[in-house]
Amino acid sequence: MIDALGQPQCVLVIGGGSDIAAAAVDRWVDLRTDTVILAGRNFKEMETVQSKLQAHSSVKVEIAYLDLTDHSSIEPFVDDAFDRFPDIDLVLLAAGQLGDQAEDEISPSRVEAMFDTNATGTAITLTAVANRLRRLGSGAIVVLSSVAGERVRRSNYVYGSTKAALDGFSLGLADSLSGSGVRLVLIRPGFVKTKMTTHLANAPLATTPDRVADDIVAALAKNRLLTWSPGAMRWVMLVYKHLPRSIARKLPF
Amino acid sequence: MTDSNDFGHAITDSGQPVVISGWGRSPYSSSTRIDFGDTPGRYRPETLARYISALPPSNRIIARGLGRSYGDASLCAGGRFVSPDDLSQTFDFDPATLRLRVSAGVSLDEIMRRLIPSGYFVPVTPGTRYVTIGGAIAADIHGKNHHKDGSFAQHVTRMQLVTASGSEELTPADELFWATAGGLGMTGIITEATIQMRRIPTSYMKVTTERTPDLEETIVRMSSKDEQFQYSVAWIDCLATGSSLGRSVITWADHAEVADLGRKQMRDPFGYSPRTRLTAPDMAPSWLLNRASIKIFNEAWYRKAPVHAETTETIPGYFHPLDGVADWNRLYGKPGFLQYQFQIPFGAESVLRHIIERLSGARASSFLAVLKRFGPGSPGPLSFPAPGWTLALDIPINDPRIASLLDGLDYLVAGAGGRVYLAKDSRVAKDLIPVMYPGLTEWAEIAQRADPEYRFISDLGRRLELRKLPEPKASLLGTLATRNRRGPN
Repeated sequence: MIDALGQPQCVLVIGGGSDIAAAAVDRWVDLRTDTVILAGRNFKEMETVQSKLQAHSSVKVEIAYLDLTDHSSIEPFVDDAFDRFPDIDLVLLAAGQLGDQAEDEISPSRVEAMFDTNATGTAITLTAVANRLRRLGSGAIVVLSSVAGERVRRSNYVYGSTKAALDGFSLGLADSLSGSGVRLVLIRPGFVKTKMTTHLANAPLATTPDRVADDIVAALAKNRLLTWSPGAMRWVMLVYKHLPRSIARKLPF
Repeated sequence: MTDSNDFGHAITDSGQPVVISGWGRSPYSSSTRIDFGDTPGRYRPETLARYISALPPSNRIIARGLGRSYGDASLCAGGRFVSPDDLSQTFDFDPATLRLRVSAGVSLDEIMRRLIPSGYFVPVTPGTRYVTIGGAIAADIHGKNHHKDGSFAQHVTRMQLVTASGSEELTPADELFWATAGGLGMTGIITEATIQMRRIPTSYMKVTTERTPDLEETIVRMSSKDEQFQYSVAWIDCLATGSSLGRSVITWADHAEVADLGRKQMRDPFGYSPRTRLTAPDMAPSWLLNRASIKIFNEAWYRKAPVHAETTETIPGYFHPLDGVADWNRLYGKPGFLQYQFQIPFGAESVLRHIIERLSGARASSFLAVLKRFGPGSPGPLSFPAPGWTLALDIPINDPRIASLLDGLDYLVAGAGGRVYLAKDSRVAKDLIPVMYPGLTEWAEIAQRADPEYRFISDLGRRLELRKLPEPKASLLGTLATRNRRGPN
């Protein structure tokens, strides 16, 4: 059962190889979490996360294969996870692909793959997870969205629009969960220095997985629906969102 | 679910699950209220037992009174809860024996309103009147007279407990009685109890107030003077640091005799009119109570207290000052707050000092904390009071770092042979419970016999795995490990 300070005991991570997810789970394992289920495609990455977590704690970590582009496999996977771990009290959705804008924008099949994972796959997962948590009457869903979805930009509109879909879906789901005992926490990180972004130049207000993880832990403790990470991103995006399109188009990021 | 019987009464689910929380407003979960039908209280224990046994065992159920436990003791996520309105029809007082037979849903507030004007008082009252009899027994609550009179369950002569197998009369000679006292609803549903009331000479309190400059003086004065008074409590300023660390205002009291009263009071020595003066707004912002505003409040409150004074106060004025503000828990805003209450044995005063130092040094702000000396505990394995000191303080949930701060304090408490109060808990680590409550396994075994299908488990019980029986330990090493875990208590 998640406690008064938002500390979970049994965590299911969708996108188990994610650097941000690993940092967040590391914090929970330090306090109350004794069971973690990592689900994803890349076993090697998930095994790295597993050994890191188990290096300093006796946490039970299970690794499971889940491919979000295999849409029909998602609901059975989620049901199976909740059947086997009926005390799951937090689901962290950290799956997603950054893609490569230059190649994506001219390839219909790559656009399809991006939406399959980041938008359709996550929306199916959230629906299946919400159904199970509603029945349990408690628990939390943490969704890693992105500032890229707040105003979709020329420079990464394929990725940005998939995140816009996830962001909007999550906020609507959060409203529908009101009165169910289940909370949803949406995180919009800015540019995070992770293995997913090593090939990219740093953007303004760049942050780290550790700092995003701190913001996730704080958002759960205070039970806040929407968190920008870093917090200053909120004001940057507020301005950016209202820039005339003719000017926004010409900005270098 | 429907269960009709010859008495013509059906019990059903009320329908939609609702979100409920404890008094601290965090955590919360949703569950479905059991509906006893149109006429409140017109049920029979046998009907309730049949309803419970007809539910699939995976359906958890917990009795919830007025929701004054701070954390998740009255929560039953995805399950069902019983509300106090449905257990409130019996109120039968016998002035000859001073025994009051009441339904478990009746509140101390109602008992006081009905019996104080005739000169009778509850044996134990906590800092709020808004608790039910069922809740008072389930948490084995204590009051300012614990050092003299013990905890609430020690004044209960009989109770009725409903489980899936039926309804049972329990007396203090039964082990299930003491597993239920302090058992936080996880042995079954308390439906009725008989309370040993007491006679009072007036409805006023003769109060002695003293202000102390620091913790040492607080400890010395309470230790030396508590025995002279029936009631004793200290309000301690946990934000004061340095040489003022632990400065307090101690109030001792006895029930006032008629001769102690002023002329106006003498005209109606049993006058009793508790009032709610204010209602806290629902939209209080979470920054309203911050370190600065609380520090100002504590300072003003300390300075206004006399160095020494003797006064006459009303029962609500002395016992229930916070009941004057309805829904005061809302003042902490949407994230809510938690109450940290622990006990440490006599002799471990240095640990108490160390904890107060850490609290005052941390950014976790709190209103005045309450310090009290406990007398001997009750036989309940999960009953909180035990000889020593108890400190209770509110902490707003505004900073995730309080999780590690309190974890650090838990280790100090457990290491000193103390425990935290489960009825107020919403965050302790489950590994520490067997250390803090050495009777946990014994309790879990009794609870398991009363409820073999694990139906009566609250969110608190799940979070702390209270009902979980330890794996049988085959090796000698395992036996030793278990013994060591039991701690110095």
